[in-house]
Amino acid sequence: MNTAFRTPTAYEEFCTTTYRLLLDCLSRPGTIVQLPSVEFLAVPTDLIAGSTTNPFCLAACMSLVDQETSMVLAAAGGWVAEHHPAAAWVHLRTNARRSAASESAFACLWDVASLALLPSLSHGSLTFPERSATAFCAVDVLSESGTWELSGPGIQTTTALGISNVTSEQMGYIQASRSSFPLGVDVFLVDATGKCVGLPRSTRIVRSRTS
Amino acid sequence: MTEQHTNIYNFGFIDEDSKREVRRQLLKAVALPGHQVPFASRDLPIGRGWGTGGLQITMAIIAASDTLKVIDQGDDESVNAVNLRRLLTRTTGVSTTVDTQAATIIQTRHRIPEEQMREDQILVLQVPMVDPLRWVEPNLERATVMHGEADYGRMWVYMYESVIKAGDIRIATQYPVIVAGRYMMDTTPIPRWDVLRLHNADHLSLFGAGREKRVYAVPPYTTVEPLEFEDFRFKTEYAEGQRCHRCGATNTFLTGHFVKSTGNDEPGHWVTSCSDASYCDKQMVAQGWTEAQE
Amino acid sequence: MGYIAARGGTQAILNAELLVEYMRLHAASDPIGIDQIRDQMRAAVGRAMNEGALYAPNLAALALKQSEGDSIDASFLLRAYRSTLQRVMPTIPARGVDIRCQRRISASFKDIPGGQMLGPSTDYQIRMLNTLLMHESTADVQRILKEYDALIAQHADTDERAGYFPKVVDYMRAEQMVPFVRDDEGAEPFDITRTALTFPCPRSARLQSLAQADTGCLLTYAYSSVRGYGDAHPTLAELRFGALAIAVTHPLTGEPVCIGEIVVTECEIVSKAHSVAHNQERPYFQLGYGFTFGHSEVKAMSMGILDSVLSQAKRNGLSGESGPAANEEFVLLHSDGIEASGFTAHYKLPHYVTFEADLKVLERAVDHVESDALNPHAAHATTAKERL
Repeated sequence: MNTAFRTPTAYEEFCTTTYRLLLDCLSRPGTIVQLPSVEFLAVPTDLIAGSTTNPFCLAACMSLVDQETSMVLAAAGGWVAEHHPAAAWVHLRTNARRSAASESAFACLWDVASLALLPSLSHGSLTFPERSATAFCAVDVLSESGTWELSGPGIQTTTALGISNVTSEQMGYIQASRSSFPLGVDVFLVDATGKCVGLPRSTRIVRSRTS
Repeated sequence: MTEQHTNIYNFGFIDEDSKREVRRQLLKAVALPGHQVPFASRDLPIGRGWGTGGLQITMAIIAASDTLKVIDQGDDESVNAVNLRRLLTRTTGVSTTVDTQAATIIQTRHRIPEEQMREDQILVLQVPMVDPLRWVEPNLERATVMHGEADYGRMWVYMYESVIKAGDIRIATQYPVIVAGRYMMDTTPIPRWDVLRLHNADHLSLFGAGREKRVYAVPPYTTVEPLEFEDFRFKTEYAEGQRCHRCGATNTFLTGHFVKSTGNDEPGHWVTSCSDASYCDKQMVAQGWTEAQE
Repeated sequence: MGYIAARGGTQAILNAELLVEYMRLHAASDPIGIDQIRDQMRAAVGRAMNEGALYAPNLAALALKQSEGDSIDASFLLRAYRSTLQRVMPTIPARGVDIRCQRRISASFKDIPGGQMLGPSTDYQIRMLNTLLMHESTADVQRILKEYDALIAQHADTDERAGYFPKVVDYMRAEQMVPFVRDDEGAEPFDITRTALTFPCPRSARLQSLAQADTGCLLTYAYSSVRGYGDAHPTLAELRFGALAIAVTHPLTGEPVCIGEIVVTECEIVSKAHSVAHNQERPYFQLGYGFTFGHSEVKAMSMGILDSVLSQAKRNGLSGESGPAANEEFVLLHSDGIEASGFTAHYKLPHYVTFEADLKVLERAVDHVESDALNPHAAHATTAKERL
């Protein structure tokens, strides 16, 4: 059969591969997926002075962003200014719109300390709950066993999740982001090796009784 | 499409920004099971109402490594299925299959394949009418508020009245369900037989309505409960003693069709057989039939 | 495999394509050139561009040729093509006052600043078939063009501002007949091709929807509102037809750069002021705006009338929000010719599964009626079942 299409570029292929993984892990909260290599993006490690950049986390967030949507960055518990070199670096590669954090569709959090900013992101409205933010947060190590017990759509009964460097207080911000379903923020956690887990607002998170 | 087409089209036809729009809204749809998420639906070279929502989902998620199955009425060879498959393969080059087990993405209109789907498969359903509340509230602005407030009383009244008047719920297909205990959802024109197969499924189901510009989703392991009353339970089309005329299956959804006579005297007759044609073929092969024998 | 009806779809589809081509060519007449369609079927080209939401006269002509003149099908081809084009950049907002007019009229005042200019119009033409066109030859065309050339040489206006006129509506604003536009929606207009239309919607979303809506449909709604199922009392403030320069911002210098001209029709409709508006606002005429590609006056006026009706309905200015044309959601969601024709035509697709499910519901309803001995409709129900 005749085909009529051009071969996707490396970035386009990356976006598609990444999307299928993000879709899969958001559909099955607690299931850990391995994101593809992001070497080709050459993410500078010192984009934000004093904070280590997790290139997997940043690239995964960028893969969903273009001129039709907005993205904000945060590190060390604070929002990165609109004209910060890191924001300019992201803008140049995505064409993302600039907007206030409270109106942004995507947020990339450099570290777990920035989870404290989740309440200031958009949670949507009852009529349009989808007009809410999606946050990507870099963490140290993810594992399918550990402190947290997840339940809800996409999970047969319950499933366990371990996050090496998240305090109860920081986890509390994620828990609070789903306390008024259907309003909320959807969260992806990405560890230093590119392992990723999705926590849609429909997922209930409690401290595991066994841990 | 003829030979004059050169490689001017993007992989998957729609451009990358259009794909991202569908992708972003699908993530929201997964996070809000059963909730209709508006998306900026693009115009496709296929008529509105002919599967443009399902197509845009498939175009947005498909990768070169996928194996695609496209069915209409359960049949891979139905004209519309052939046509949509033709558009998708010409603009992606992916391999296709009629075998439910071999597919990674199954795009469908009006049926869920009879064979149970696995965790690693995605079902994409084409949706004509997105909102179950349209039976009782055609105005979108008001219906959106009703969903927001989970205000489904009028729908229950509609269901109750139809039981009283017709002895059954009048909605044959597009049967309304409650997803994950929250949103009322239109199941697209799948028969009631298929409705229960969305409940706690292993696979992810993605729904696309191109003309209505909405996507929605049922994640795996999510409750999907048809509307029913304690004293009037949800009933499928299943009839005691039903049997596929062709493969003999007794537990499938059957459709009726006319069989021409082979001799000169007999005028032909009506029979019922599996609407899932590839499943039916599989059963036949398992029973030792070949195409020639048939 | 003879058992499943309507299988073997691939060959049937390919044959259908061959037959369509044959139907277009079978009489063996000379093929129509794209330039002929573009230049001599201006109205059809304009309509295809409007409803296809793509300004591309050559492609619109091609679409008309391919669709054998079917306006909805031609615009469908253009729309589908538009989906494959990556958006490059937005143009700088263009202003109607910058249209170089070939025609410009107002029905509100006898004399207007700049004067009335009837221009190329069939309005006062006696609609009798011109049988001379049956046998128009290339020589005829050249002779006529030569006569026009002489006229042009004689009357050519050397003033470079010729064709530019002040806007009637600006005068009306200055005189406080119509309000200055309240920019209550922010500077960025809504774009229905990039964001799904939800309700309530801003006026920019309405205008964009109307601009790509089916001409016949807008005409019907607008007509219903002026005829009696509504409360519109329109007066034509101004209608202009001409060329409009389009500019973008240069990505490096930031300076505006003209990238070409488009042929457009623009109109403003004012409607009668209604009883004193609520909350003591100063009463004004309601303004409605219509804009189309090409020369499409009926569509521009229908759009203008509907815009004014919908604006009034939104401000509760219409008595009783009367008539279907005053229901914004109803008008916008049912006026797209491509969506409406696609969905209407989709009932040609196989519906075996849904029909089988419907049959089951019918059978159960019949049983229900029959089981009720006192039911007076039982006899009819039996007949219905027998027909099965």
